[in-house]
Amino acid sequence: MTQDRVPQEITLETNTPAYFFSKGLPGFEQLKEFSLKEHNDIFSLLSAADQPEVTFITVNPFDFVPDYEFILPEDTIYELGVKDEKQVSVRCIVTWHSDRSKVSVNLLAPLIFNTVDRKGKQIVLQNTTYTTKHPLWTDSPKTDEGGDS
Amino acid sequence: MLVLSRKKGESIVIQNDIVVTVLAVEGDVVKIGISAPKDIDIYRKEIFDSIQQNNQSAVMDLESVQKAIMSISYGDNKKG
Repeated sequence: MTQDRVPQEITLETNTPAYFFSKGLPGFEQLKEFSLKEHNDIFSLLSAADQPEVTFITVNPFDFVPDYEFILPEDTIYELGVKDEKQVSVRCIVTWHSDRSKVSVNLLAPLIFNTVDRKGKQIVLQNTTYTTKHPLWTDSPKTDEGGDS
Repeated sequence: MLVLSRKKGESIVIQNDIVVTVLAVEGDVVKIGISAPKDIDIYRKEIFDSIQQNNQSAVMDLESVQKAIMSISYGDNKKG
């Protein structure tokens, strides 16, 4: 019954597998491997495996834009080897700004992850009105007084 | 840059399996059909440029990520 030999070290950081982006990201075509790490409930960090100085803040777009929608193109499903929609995870890149009201999220080019086969791709939506600069927080620029109604 | 003249309905072939066809010409608008293997990405250039640019302005190093997220962590409400 005693299991005092169970190794304890295998938890934290080692548990962030890399995703392979066969074409890199637009603007960073040479970087093919990225890790996606949950930072807290809201933000996750996408970091180039070999160059942590290349890190993107990302969010789950559905947390912020509940009616966000797009059709995952057949070609992407094929390219990422997706066999079940449960394998798919979506994140969008945030462009930070010291002014909170200017923090934006790129809804035009979501990141698609195959969480089973560990493949990723930034796709560009066609025929959409989404932009690369959607305000992340659409609440009015009121001062942070905590509490809500 | 290679320059080819084509009429409506005529095509060009790139690397055996990419076929670009002029479908229609209306004034200064040309409709182009492209058939290519599934793993070839095709974008309007200005849109691809804007995605590249957006990524380049969104990239941060870990230290500034920490600072940025800390700076709002107390007001971490989601939408509205």
